[in-house]
Amino acid sequence: MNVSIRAMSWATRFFWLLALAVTITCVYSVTLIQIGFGEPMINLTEEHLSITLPITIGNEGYYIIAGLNVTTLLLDNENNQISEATTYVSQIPPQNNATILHNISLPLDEIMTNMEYLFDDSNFTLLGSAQLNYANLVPLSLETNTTIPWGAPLYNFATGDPTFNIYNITHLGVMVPIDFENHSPYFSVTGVIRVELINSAYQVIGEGTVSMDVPPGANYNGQLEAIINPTLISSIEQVQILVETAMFNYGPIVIDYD
Amino acid sequence: MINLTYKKVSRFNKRKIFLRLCKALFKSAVVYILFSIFSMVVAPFEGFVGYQPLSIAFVAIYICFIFIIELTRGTVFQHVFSVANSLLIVAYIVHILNVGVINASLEEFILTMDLRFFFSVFAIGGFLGFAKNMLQFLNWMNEREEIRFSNYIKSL
Repeated sequence: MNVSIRAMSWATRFFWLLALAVTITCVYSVTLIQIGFGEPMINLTEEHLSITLPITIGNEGYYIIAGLNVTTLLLDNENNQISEATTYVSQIPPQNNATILHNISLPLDEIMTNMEYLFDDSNFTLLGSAQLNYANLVPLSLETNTTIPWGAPLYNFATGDPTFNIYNITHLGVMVPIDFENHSPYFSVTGVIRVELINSAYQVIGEGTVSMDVPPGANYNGQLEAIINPTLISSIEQVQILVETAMFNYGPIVIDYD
Repeated sequence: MINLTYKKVSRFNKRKIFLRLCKALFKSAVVYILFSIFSMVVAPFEGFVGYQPLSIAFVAIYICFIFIIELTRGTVFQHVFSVANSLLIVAYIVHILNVGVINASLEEFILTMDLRFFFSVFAIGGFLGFAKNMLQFLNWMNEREEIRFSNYIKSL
């Protein structure tokens, strides 16, 4: 009996020693994990704004990082999901670094269909989370959230009253002043603004275009000019304005003409 | 019979009681210091905050047990309290298994750790301790019976 009790005592002591050693080294190793974010690379296409975020994970601890899953979720100001991105890394051995490229895609074509985002500034919420299994024993998760400002590309869009001037001997010019601010920090508003003069039969009786290239943060003050035969001036019912860019089309903005 | 009386006198002499008291105080102080260090380490972890009163109660009872076990060494109470102590450890670990998932705020990050694996291992350790103490208890009772029996044989 004494021998078995002594054996049991030693087994218990050894078990506790081992359990505490594993626990302490594991918790200590978790504190040695280093996470660094690199400079994001932005790629703009007609449909998407793609942000590639390099994330460096340094596993300076004594155990393996397994099943690393990085997820980002972009929400609008009403908490509706705009985009979701996931990057998976199967394992990072101890004393090793890994750099992952996490690709976040903003569907600009979908965002631009919402008038609110064209004319009003807003805030998006980016929820970031990383799940991993440390030492294949401890499930860990890291969560963070940040606010991404959204600048309206046609902020304060306004049209003035149409005015007339003599274009040449046979035609008159209709001038429509337009101004707006490109609050978007991400892209330029590049394209044309088209003006159409409509008569009572909803026919286009005169039109004109002006091209624009408004860089991020810049104001636009322009005059739209449409050419029209002076005899048709009395039949003008409406002035319609359309904005056509590579990323979005907006219009027509209808100005009733008295 | 004379031998047994002598043993009883020697077991409860003043010097031995004083030494046991010192040893019990020392062990209790060590446990208290370890608990204080552990409390400081886990202070930033929100998951533990709600269970701190329970932890303090557990440590208080645990220290009392250590003190009493040391004072009653060599008696039946040592084994009774040892068994009760190991049961307390197991019960406490099983209880905190429910809060094995802890949260901590690290600057702008929220860290969530699932420590239920470790708590399960500790629970197994607690069961091992319980089994060992039960064996020691049985062994002590067995030895007592053997002494009583041999004394009875001698008296015949």
